[in-house]
Formats: sequence, C-alpha cells, structure tokens
Amino acid sequence: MSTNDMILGSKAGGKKAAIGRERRLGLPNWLYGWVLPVIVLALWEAASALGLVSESALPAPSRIAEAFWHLCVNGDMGKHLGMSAIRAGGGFLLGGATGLLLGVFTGLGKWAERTLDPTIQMLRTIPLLAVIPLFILWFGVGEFSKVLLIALGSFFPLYFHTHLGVRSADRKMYEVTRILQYSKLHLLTKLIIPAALPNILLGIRLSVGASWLLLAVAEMMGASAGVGYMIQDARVYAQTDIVFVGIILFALVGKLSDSVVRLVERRCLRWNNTYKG
Amino acid sequence: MQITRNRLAFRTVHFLIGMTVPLAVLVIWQIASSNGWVNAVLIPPPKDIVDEFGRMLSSGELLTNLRISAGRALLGFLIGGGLGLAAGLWVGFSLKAERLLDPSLQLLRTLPHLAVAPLFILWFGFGETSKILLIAKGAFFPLYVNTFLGVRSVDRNLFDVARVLQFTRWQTITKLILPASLPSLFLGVRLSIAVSWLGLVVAEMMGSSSGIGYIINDARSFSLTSVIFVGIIVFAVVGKVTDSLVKLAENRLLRWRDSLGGEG
Repeated sequence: MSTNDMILGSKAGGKKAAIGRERRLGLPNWLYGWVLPVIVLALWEAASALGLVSESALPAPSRIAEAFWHLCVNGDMGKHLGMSAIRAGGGFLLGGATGLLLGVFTGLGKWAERTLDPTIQMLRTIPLLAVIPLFILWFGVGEFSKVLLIALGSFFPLYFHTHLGVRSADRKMYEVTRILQYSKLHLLTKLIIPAALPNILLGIRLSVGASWLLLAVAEMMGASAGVGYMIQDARVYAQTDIVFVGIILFALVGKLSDSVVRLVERRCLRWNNTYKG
Repeated sequence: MQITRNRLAFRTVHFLIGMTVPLAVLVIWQIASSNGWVNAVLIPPPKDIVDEFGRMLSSGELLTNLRISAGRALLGFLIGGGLGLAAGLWVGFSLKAERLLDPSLQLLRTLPHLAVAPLFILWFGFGETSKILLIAKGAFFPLYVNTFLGVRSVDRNLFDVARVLQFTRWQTITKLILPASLPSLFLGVRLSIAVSWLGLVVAEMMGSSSGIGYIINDARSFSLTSVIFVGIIVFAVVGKVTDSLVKLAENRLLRWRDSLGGEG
C-alpha cells in the first residue's frame, strides 16, 4: 500500500504541484517526517565532502556512523554504556524506591503530609545541578556522589506522583473496603496501589528521564568511564565525531528506556482497566 | 467572620506544623556544627551561611553576578522561547509544516541538552555565545511543544463560528487562537524558564568568569562551603520567584479569559 503510494508519488512528479493541494504530494504520512532530516543529512554530507565546513567542527554523517561502528566493534561502547547503565540504574533504584515509599507514606497519613511535605517542597526548588559542587566536596568525585546525585534527581518526580496517585484513590471505594473489612495490607495492595498506578508509572517515566539527564552531567564532572566521560574525553581531544556518537547514544538510550516504561505502563493499565471493568 | 478567622487560624497551624521539621533540622545543624560534631568546612553552621550572605550582599558581589546571570538567562530564554513560540504557532497552523517539521523537532528533542554542551563549547568556544545558545536550546522545546498543543486544542466549532462571522486571518489569530491557547502557552513559558535556569547553571559551571554558577564553582575549588550554600539558595529563590511571577501573570490573564468566556 505505502510502496504503491510512493511509486505513484514519483510518477506524478511533474504534476506534483497541481495535485499537491488535494493529495498532499501523494506521499504517505510517515514519509513526510523523513523529508527534512534526509535533506539536512544530504546537505551536511555534501558540505563536508566539498570541504565547506571544517572536519573538526562538524564531521560528515558518514564519519560519525563510522566512529559509531568502530566504537561498537572494539568494545569501548559496551564498556562505557555498561558503566553508565549501572550508575543510572543504581541511582534510579535508590532514589525511586525512597520516593515511592515516602510518597505512599505522606499520601496515607495526614500527619506525615503536614510535617514532611512542606520540607520536601522546599528542597525541590533547589536546582540539582547547583548542588553538584557540594556533593563533590562532601563525597569526592567517586561513584558515591554520582549515584547519590542521580538518586536525588529521580526521587522528586516519583515522590510527587505517588503522593498524588494515592490521594486520587476514590473515597467511595475506600468506604467499600471498610465495609468489607479489608486489613491495612489488603487495602494497600488491592485498592491504593492499583488506583495510584497510572500516576506512579508517570512518575517512573519522569524519574528515568531525570536520571539520564543527571548521569550526563555527573559523568562530565569527573569520571573514568561512562558515556559522559567518553563525550568529555573526546571534546578535550577535539574528536567531534565521538562527541556526536555520545550524544546520539544518550538520546537513543533515553528514548529506549522511556519506551520500555511506556510499554509496561500500557500493559499494567490495561490490566487495571479490565480489572475495574 | 468567625469562619474566616477559623480558617486563618487553621492555616497558620498548618504552616507551623510544616515548619517544624526544617526548623528542627536548622537548630540541630547549628548546635552540631558549633560544638564541632561535624566538620565546619564541609557543613558550615547556618549562622555562617547567613553571615556570608550578608557580606556578599553588602560588597555588591552577589548583585553584580546575579545581574550577569539573569541577563544571560533572559537573553537565552528570549531567543529560544521566541523561536519556540514562532515555530509552535507555524506548525500548529499548517498541516504541511507539521508533517515536514514536527518529526525532526521531536527527534532533536530527545537529545539530552546537557550532553550537547561539550559540542557547543567546541563550536563556539567558552564565550557568551555558547552559554546563551545552550540556554536558548533548552528553552525552545517546552515552549514549542506547548504552543503547538495549545493551537491544536482550539475548539473546531469556534473556528466555524469565526468563519461565519467573517473574521480576517489576523482577527482569527488574535481573537480566537491566542486566547484559546493561552493556558498551555503559559505552561510552556513556565517550563521554559525553569529549563533556562537549569541550563544557566551548567553553562556557568562549564567555564565562565562571572555569574552565580561561577561563584559556586570558584568557591568549590577553594572549599568555601558557605559560599556554595549561598549560591545554591540564591538559585533556588530566584527560580522560585520567577516561577511565581509567571504563575501570577497566568492567573490574571486567565481570569480575564474566563470572564470573557462567561460574557459570550
């Protein structure tokens, strides 16, 4: 179907302008989005082949692809990516778990909310990146300060959304569970967690995003392995192609982890929907 | 009367309860550091931080650097936000532009904007250009996405009404589309400002000779922890204040919009 459309589009080349208004160039929708990137890439490649831009400022796309492949083959990529993933994962687990627990805690207890929530709201306004020098002074440039920074970054989104989710549980449902004499544990696992799940999953997505963002900064501040280190190291030696590879890698992994959480979200919420229905 | 007074009392009590934890932490912190239980270099007592703040304020060091930082953030925000607004409006209005531009912009959006900083430094050096461009890049996307969403969320029926009333294109934009997309526009502005401050911190720490970020980084190399604390608190307060200002403007402008909607 779509290939047919493509052939039609190219055949109708001469009449394109005339047909354009009605048929929107006759191209299938998904192809439209690729027009601009492909043109930009082609121009870029041509410009660097002709020597219009300096190789050290803007290496040709083919060179970036080559560097990408080279790094994949010699195992550097795997090493850096593995290190980064461990840091981001560790920080996310630490911060996310704390956020989840505290969120449930302040969500369930009125007193806990009144005493703890204002403090946490106050701490939230502190820009995390400005705290980096303090962390370096306190904990050195080692793994601990990096993981802690990522944990702090992933704590806040998950905390807020968990708190919000717990509070959004239907009051009527809550009364029903009391009539059915649910125990506290039952109440938590059968009503509150499922009701808060959409918000919690949103919080997880935001947390994962925040942890990748902070990972990039943490690794650039001082590290001896990881994707951020790879970028920083390449910058010092003006290996722009490797800087590009690093940036693309960050984008890809960030996008991928986001998609994974979204997939989980769709599954869990489907279950939730059928459960409710 | 009685009820309002009760409510006021209720709110003060809540406020006091909320303040217990921070106050307790501050008191314990002060006692612990003045008794030498914790290293005063790593965790200076709150009193030292306040003193340092007073000293930096009176010497004018704080205000000069704050002005420089604010200038950078503002310029970056204006460039990035302005472009984001323009691109969002354009893509929102035209289906063709959406198909052509939106996928590329969404692709660029996934690039972590802090990881791009080294590239900007390579291209534009350590000067002002790379800092402002970094801030502008960060400020662009929230405003673009939310403007686009706002324009697209305008009620189709209202469009038809505008056509029946023979609005010109300019009138359609100023009388219908802009007011209708104002809520998400404001959300975009708030997010953009937050990102601008974030980008500013990174840009100034990457290499700079003035600004609050520079003060923090400089203090770190001399282990002046109280100065770092002052810098962090200033960043937090300024970020909060700008956010509150936009929120205030939002409330005002949206109140106007609501009353207009009520009349019609």
